[in-house]
This record gives sequence, C-alpha cells and structure tokens, in this order.
Amino acid sequence: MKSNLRALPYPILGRSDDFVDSDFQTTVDFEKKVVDAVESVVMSYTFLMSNDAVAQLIEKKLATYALDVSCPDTLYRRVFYCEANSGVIHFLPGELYGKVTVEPIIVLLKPALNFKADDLNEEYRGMTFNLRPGDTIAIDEITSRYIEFDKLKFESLVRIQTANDIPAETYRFDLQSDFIVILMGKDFRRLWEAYRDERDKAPFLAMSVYKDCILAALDYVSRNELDSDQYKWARALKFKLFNLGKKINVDADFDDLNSQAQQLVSKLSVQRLLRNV
Amino acid sequence: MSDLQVLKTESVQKLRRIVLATPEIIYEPFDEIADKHSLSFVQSTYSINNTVDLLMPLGVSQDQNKDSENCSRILAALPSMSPANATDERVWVTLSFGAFAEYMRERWKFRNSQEDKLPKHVLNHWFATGVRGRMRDNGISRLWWMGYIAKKVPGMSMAQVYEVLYANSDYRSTLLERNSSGNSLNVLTAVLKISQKAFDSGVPYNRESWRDFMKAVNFIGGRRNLAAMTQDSLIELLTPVYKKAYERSQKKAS
Repeated sequence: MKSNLRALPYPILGRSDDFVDSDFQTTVDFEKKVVDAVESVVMSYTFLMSNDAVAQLIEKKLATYALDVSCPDTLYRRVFYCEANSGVIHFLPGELYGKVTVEPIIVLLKPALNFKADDLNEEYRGMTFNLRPGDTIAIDEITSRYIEFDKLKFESLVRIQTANDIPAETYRFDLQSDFIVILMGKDFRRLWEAYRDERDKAPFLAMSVYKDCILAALDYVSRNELDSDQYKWARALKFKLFNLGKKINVDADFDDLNSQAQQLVSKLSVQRLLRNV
Repeated sequence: MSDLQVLKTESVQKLRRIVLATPEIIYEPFDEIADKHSLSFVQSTYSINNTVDLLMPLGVSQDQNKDSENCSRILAALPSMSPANATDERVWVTLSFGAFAEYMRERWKFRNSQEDKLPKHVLNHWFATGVRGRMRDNGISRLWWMGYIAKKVPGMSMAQVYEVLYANSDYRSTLLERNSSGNSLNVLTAVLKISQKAFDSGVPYNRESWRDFMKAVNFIGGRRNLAAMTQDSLIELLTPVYKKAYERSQKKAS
C-alpha cells in the first residue's frame, strides 16, 4: 500500500515536481538504548517544509506530519502522527528487528475542500483539489535501517565445508541460509588448508575464493533485493556496504559487481601482494 | 519456568542438511538426534513454561485441529517472547524437534504417498525460514504469530479473532501474508470487524468476493494511506466496499 505518485489525483510535495519552489525534507535517525539490560530502539526525526498552503493545513489541524514505520520481519506497521517539527519516538523492546523502513509524509486528518497553492506546476495551475483523510499531500524519501541486536559481521557468516558431490578441484557457494557456505571439492579443500595461513599464498586464495564468494553474494542480493533480507549474511553485507557508503545497485552488471567484490577483498588480496612488489 | 536451550545456528544448518537426506529423523527422540549428529545448544534468554502442553489435534478440519486453542497455549508457554525474538529460527526448530515433537508429528503428518516429497514437507514445517516460513509454515511459530496478532487486536477477544481468521485459510493468507494491510493494526482490525459483522449477519466467506474486496482495499490504499486513518474512519470507508464486493459476486452467481 505504498502510494503510487503517478496515480494520485492531487499534487504531492516532495518527491515529485508538482510544487515548483517548495520542498519537504526529513531527517530520521535510529539509536539503540539499553535500560535495565533491555535494548530498545529510539528514532529521532526533524521535518523541514517550505510550502505555505500545506503549512496552513497543518496549522488548522487538517493535516499532520507523520512517519509511516514498517518492519516486515516483526509484522509491524504504524503511522505516527508528529505534532512538532522534531521529536523522538520510543519503540517497545523487541518490536523491531531486521529491515525497518520509515516514510515521512504529511497526511490529511480531515477533509480539506478546494485546496490550492501558489507554486504548483503549470499543469495544476489555477486548479483546486478536494483532499480526504488519509490523502498524503507530501512525501519524502524512504529511509531504511537494519536493526539487529546480535549483529554479526559478514565475515563471520561465511563457512567452509568439504563437499564430496562436486568435482574435487572446484568450489561453489550455497547462499540459501543464514550462512554462506563455501563448498569445496576434496582436492581444493586440501589446497585451501595448505595455503590459507601462508603469507605469500593466502592473498591468491582471497583473490579467487573470497572474491567469488562476495561476487556471488552481491549478485544474489542484487537479483533478490527483498527476499535476501531473510538471511543474516545478506543483512550483514548490506550493513557493511552501508557503513562503507556503498550500496548494491539492482541494475548492476557483472563488471560492476565484480569490481565491487574486488574492492571489498582488496585488503586481504591485492594490497597484501603489492607490499612485496 | 526455565530458560530455553536452543540449537546453535550452525546446528540448525546441519539439521537442515540431515533432513534433506533422512527426513525420517523426525520420528526419533530429539536427544538421540542431537547425540548422534553432535548438535550443539546455547542457553537462550527465552523463558519456557514447561507445564504448558499443546493439545493434540483430533483431525485436520478447523474444528478438530485445535489451532485456535494452541495459539493461546503457545503464548502461555513462551510468555516473554517478543516479535524480534520470534524471528529466531533456532527457537522454532528446537521446539519443533524437541518439546513439541509429538504434537508436530500428529498435526503435520505426512499424507503424501510420494516419499521424495517428505524432505520438503519436513523443511517447510519443522524449520522456519523467512517471514512466510514463520507465519505460515513452521508448525509452532505459526501458532505464536497468530496468537500474537490476535492479542494485539483492540476491541475483539482473542477467540473472536481466531474465529474470523480461521474461517478460511485463503482469508487468513490474503489478509496477513501481504506486506500491507495485515501489518497495520488499524487496517487489520477494521477488516476483521467488518468481516465479523458480515459473518454474524449471515453473509459467509466467499473466496471471489473476499479477493475482490482486498484488491479494492489495496487500490484505495494506493491513493490514501490507510494505515494513517483511524479505525472508525476505516470501517466507514471500507464497509460499503466490502458489501459491494459481496453483492457483485452474488449477482454473478445468480
């Protein structure tokens, strides 16, 4: 039930160009709080809005700032009305887990007849609109965060396992669980055990096996953006990329993903080898 | 009340692989499975009331399977479980193979004659991967999540919620397994109340009408943020939509 901007019969402030000179911007931040050894989540927010006509709707209590918070893992969805331009929302312990999305909106509480604004796009100029409760007159970008209380690093969610049912000199990946399992044929596993701790040879294994592992993970996430969230390794990978200021592009091709994977393992591979060149 | 020992994540993975090869292990005692396959456990912070048992189903139909009663019982068995904790697959796998193994074998009997379907059956109902796996498939977690939802609905008793939700599995899945209406408590409550009123007035569930209604709800939700509306406004808005969907199907049928 996320709104489809193109289908709405009234102008929207924020994510479209329906309003020419006005804007709606929000900052949302999450913090974990521990009280009596119980962890919970606190969300702080600030709204900035620069349209007089919409401001009047809020002033007359016909509309309100609101945050549409949803967390599919815990079946949570709630729209919080926010009376002030900034504030905090405390969530109950255990209410949120996994991916949490927040959509900042300005939503109608009561009918507003003949709504008009001065800086509407030409296609709306001179028109008036009848707004009804639940209509969203302003929308800002959705913010996503991953809430994990027992957060594990991506690296700790990769396991090596010998597989007798694949060619002995090969390796492959099983991505369909919380761990990524690198399945190694018998001979490849022997090679792995012999070289993994050798300073001059281990970087070559990282350049192949680890790089391929990350490439497979990136590829999986880019092709299964929503479904992949069910796996711990995928959430950890997204969190790692988020901290590095990177993200997985759903349209990325092989070269993009391969390049991203190489950069993510470069400390363990190319950078180590370069020290001895 | 005691703290629940749960399988370690790696042991859950191991068990998953074992089930793929030998799904019949569900008939073995859990401590023997754990010993035989060196499964390891970790002390969790989840409390379990060991005095609470699940009722054994008397049949597969809704009035025989004891699902409604068992939803309340599993909540009583796991009194401190939060939704975040309830996303932990380790808990549900441990309980499915351990404390509630007998219930699981009875409620999720393998009724298919094709033996190669058994691994998938066990993976579906004894494990709990993803939201759908927890909500719909795992034999124990589905009871907890349904109980959790029923407990949250304001203005209706848990029994009333179960009565509506368990009227039909299609009703339940259309309402709860989509990432829209079911997650928003006010929309869920409004829809349950509208349905209950219709059922009570002699308009029974109808698959086609129900699906038409939910399509209309999603269509309206494309323009208006239903989750932002009050329950009363939602009931006022959606009741005529419900009636219209049912009238349309009745006309088609006649």
